[in-house]
Amino acid sequence: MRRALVLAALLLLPERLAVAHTPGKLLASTPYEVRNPADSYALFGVFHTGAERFVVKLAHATRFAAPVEIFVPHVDELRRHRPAYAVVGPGLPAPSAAELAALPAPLPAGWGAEVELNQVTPRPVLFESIMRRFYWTSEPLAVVFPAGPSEIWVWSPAKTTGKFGLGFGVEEGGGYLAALDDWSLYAY
Amino acid sequence: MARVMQRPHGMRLPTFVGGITAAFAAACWGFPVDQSTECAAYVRCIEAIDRAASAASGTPQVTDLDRYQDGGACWGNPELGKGCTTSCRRALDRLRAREPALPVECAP
Amino acid sequence: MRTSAIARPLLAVLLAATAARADPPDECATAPARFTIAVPAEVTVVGLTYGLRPEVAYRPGALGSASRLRLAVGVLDGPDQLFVPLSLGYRAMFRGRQRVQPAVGAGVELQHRLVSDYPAVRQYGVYVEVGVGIAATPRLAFGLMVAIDVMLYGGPGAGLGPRVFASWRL
Repeated sequence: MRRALVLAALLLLPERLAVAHTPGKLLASTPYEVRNPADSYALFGVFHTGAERFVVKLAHATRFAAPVEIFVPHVDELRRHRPAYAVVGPGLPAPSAAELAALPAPLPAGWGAEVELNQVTPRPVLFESIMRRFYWTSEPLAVVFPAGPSEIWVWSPAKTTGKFGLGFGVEEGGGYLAALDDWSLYAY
Repeated sequence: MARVMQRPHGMRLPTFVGGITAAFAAACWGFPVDQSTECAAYVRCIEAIDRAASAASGTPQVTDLDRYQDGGACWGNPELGKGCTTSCRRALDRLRAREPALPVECAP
Repeated sequence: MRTSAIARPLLAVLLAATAARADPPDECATAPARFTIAVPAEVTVVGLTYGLRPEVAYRPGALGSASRLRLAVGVLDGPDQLFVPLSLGYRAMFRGRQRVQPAVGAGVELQHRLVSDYPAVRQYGVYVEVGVGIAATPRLAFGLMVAIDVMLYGGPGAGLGPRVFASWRL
């Protein structure tokens, strides 16, 4: 009996380890479709020219709140790389004039935006313990996503290039082993 | 202390070490944390906004705040709690700066 | 450049092993020493860092005993962090009188991760290791170890660190 309890406790460890963001790869050429916004994601991409706009598409039956943040690897060559993001969709607040001017594309009629220009100073640092990496982060922001379709746009206001990651949700996914498919993108 | 750590009679060493490890893991890592005051305030504020919007439009507006509520995914461990708390604080700051007529529940 | 930094110690071990094969050690491959020092070169695969993790092992038992107490402190650099692990554990080294000496071990580890603009991250956890040493002389050995660590406090996570080493019995 005692041994069974210990074994059961040990079996819980992998379950704890498995609670992480579901990784995904962002391409400027193709919108990333989030199948289940109730899960959490860490989506990684690379700005090659600085002029790209990455699009993540979501659709959810109800309004929901989730944290969103954008981050870049904590390496010297990306010290000035500060990508921005905007959650855009119907029912979101009207952006300020400055935020509107910063958006990489016109807002569709009737849509609003929650814009994060990633300008917090001093630059916040995030240690991500699953991949054991340091990042500069915009800091998480709780965003209320509308019911129905919405999108997250990611762009580089200063046209800087380099890797970035977009995280949203609270590490509720279990598919972190998918990172093995593209290890260099996520890990180095 | 030595008495506490003494291996129970009849228990094999791997079982003992495994049990200690699992207990340590559960104690240090697996324990959930309490909902932060920042996120409690955020939940109250969004719920109040929903009520006001529902009253104004006549159509119920409900925001799924499960992650942030007491016992939600945010509070599974200290690391998650820290990130969620930051996200609530920043969201409330933005709401207060942007919206002049927030419900009283959103006041600092 | 980083690849060659990893490949060079591996090549050195292979060459040393080959040399040892050509020049077999004495009948007894173990010098009667209680302490062994080793200088492993390591690459951590999760959270890329590379560097040295010097260690000292103490044999508490009689000559021929497999048991060792191990203490190691590493300094490993990476693209985004400086990694300083401190390990204390048990290692069993088998076949001490043979040329090929398998080893397994386990212990506790405190990991420090440092960047310039953030407080040091400290994580506590456990590790297991498995590997093999090849005796070149009664005192000198070369080998390869692989360690897996699981951090339990300070941020969950697991890591993998292959390392090549040269060890010297004092």
